[in-house]
Amino acid sequence: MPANDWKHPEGDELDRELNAALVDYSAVAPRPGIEARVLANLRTPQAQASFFAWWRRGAWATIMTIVIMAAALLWKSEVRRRRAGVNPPPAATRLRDSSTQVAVDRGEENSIPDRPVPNRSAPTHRALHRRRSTAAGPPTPKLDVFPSPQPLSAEELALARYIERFPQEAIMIARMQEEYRQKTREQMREAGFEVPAESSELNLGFDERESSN
Amino acid sequence: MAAGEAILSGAAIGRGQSEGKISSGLVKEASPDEAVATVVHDHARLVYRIAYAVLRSHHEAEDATQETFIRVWRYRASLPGVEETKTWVAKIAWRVAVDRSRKRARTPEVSLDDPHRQGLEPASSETSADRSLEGLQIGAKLEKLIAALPEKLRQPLILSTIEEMSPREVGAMLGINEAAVRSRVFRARQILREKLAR
Repeated sequence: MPANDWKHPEGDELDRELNAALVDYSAVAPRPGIEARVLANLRTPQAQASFFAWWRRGAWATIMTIVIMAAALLWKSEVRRRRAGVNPPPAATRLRDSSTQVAVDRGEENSIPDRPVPNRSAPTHRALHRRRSTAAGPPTPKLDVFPSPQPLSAEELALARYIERFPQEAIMIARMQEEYRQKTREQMREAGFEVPAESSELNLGFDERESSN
Repeated sequence: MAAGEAILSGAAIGRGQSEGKISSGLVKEASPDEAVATVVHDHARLVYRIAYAVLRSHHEAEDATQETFIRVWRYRASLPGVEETKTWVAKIAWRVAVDRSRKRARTPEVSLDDPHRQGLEPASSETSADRSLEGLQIGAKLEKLIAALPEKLRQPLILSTIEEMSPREVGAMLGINEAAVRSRVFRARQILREKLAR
């Protein structure tokens, strides 16, 4: 049985017409010399250029992919570097460290106790604020007297010792100072200058009865 | 007469198959450029017929033939590894023709009264000169009917009209088995027969 029976099964007139039409459907031939034309075309620079263009396109696509990936990696590392530069180890931590060192050098009792070093890789705002507040030292208790009494200086200590040893002389000196101050204020008034109200600072707070004792 | 034609066609297929085996052997032994030349000499007409069966235009069929062999040349390094050169080239020709057909479908279609179409302007002296007017009319009608078939039936039918193609080769090109090719061609013929009978 011929191999082409599956294409053109025998039947009635209509089948035969259909078979004939199907045979004619592709029964064409090219113009003579198609092989030569094809081979000539393959040898032309255009045909070879189209092949190399295809190869070049592939090469360019690969190169561009590599360039884009390299640029993405560089950008990523740059972003990381900037983040590290924007968020350095907190200054409060450095301040605390330096103050701790100074306290150790002075031998003060109220030195800042050692704290475990926190993780500096991702400092948060809250953690930063907490560190800043602790770096200034432990909070001082509120006092009844303001300003807080400070220890006397060397000059004040010497004056206190003189008054204690020579009370009469101290009173006399104070009176003379007061008289001089009053005379100066009167002279300023007479000259037309505005004299400010007397300040309580000139009041030494000494009582004659106490001094006599 | 149909049986006689079938016998001749069968002989032609048998010869084509043996020629294909011989040319495949030559291709494997030759250099890539020589292999391409061998493939062109052996299969240029087949490629042209495949392209024409899809595109229905001589000019486009020749352009598609040129493009097919440019692709063959591009992949010439893999020619020695190809078992059946004929099926391989036919597959490339089919893909080129189908791609061109789809691109053309997006642009304004060529009128059916185009003087370059088959039957009105023969491509070469080999075309039948004693075709009756009735045959021409059936041929024009058949083209429209085949174009209207679903793709699953149209493609195996178109390839089956090409003399050199066996059902196994058609199946290899379309990615289906031989039985599917036969059943789809049978079904397509039934539809065409019903529409022609009206």
